[in-house]
Amino acid sequence: MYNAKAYSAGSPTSPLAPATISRREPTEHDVQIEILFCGVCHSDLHQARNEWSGVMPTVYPCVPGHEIVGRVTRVGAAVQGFKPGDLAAVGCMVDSDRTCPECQAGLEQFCPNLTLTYNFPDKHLGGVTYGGYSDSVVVDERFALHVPSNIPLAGAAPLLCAGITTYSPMRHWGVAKGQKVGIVGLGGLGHMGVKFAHALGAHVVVFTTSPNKKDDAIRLGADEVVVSTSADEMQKHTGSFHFILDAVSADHDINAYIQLLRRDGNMTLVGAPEKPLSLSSFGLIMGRRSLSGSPIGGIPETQEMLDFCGAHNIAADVEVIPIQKVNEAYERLLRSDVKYRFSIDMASLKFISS
Amino acid sequence: MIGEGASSLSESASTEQELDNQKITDLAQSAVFVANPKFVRMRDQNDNSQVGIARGPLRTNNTRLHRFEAWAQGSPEQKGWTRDSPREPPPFCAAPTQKARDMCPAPFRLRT
Repeated sequence: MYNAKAYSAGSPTSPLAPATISRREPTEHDVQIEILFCGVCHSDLHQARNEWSGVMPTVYPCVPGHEIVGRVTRVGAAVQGFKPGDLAAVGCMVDSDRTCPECQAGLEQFCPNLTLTYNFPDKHLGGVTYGGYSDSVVVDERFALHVPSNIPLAGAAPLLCAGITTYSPMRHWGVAKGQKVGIVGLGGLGHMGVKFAHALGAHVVVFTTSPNKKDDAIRLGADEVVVSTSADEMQKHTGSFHFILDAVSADHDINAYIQLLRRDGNMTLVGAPEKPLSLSSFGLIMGRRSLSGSPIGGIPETQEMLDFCGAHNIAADVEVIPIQKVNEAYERLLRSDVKYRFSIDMASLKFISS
Repeated sequence: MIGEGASSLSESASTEQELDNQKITDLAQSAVFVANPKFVRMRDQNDNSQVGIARGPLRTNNTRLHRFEAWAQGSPEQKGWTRDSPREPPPFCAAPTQKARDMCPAPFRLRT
């Protein structure tokens, strides 16, 4: 074991503060990564404040962070895919059982025995796993990803969660050139959805309640912007979409969007409103439409997504902050006051004495 | 004869009798389970079924997931199969990028 610098939450109500945590020495299949940037996901806030206590109670101290980008500093003797100096990334998972059908299919996100990057039982050291608000991380090479060298690292970090969460359902549902794709909500997830749909060649329509987001949506790659509070504007698109990605985590009327799908169209939810959504079954029945959900993506698909980003020069739009500003960032996150993702420059952690 | 039979059937088939909630409850209480309901299909009990789902084994509880077909056909160890061995390359073996394809399990990678 060795000591690593980190920022952790000590309780649901205490702000994140400097801490020292233990990391395992790299075993033969492990990669040690010096973390350069770590994105801030809304999940970090939920977990730090134990807001998911019903399904995933937080164990304190909690070190959040699952959008990790850095440079390899050490590798185990059996590691083949990485060498010291390589860029590497870690997303929401750091291990799985590797034997279940889900793992065999490269869909580790559905593995019943997966290990999440933080606040999950740590098989190596006991206790729980610690995330990317830290100066280093040690991970099995199977769960380390290659980062294209041509995309900015600060903007690459959010790809590991917000990126793959939006890319995966588009690939699953076959978004392609010539199709019409809707993106509901222009936040951290939605803005990535616009970029991916545009790069996949689709005609992209952004739905927003804020008319002032129109220019930004167009800049990100949207072909049209619809103010969803306008019934007339919505009506014009009835029955025309192949695919709609719903990235809204607030309560909203999904039936209004289902009506916009064409026959066999799909709407996938990636936002998670707190309260159950109301669904009119006739909206699905008439048109054989489908409604689904999707969580992140498997490791091979995450690598594919990163490669896709490299080929199309895609990165998240980020506001880079030092780790000392992370509590302020959480408050701004609650007000949706960020375009479109925070990315922590982990060099700032070096200025904290352990 | 046919007419009589039909008449008889129609008399007992539907008399538009309503079953109220109490009757339904009484009926449920009088039901007797004679076996594990999971295995009471005809083909499981008469031991001569020729119906197999996804080529699963006959004369047993023959509903199996298709991916375990090889396991069900016997001698999996001889074939080198484990219970969870994939029978065909997982989709990501045909991923559009080389780095993603590199994650394909070795046996399938060699074949491609």
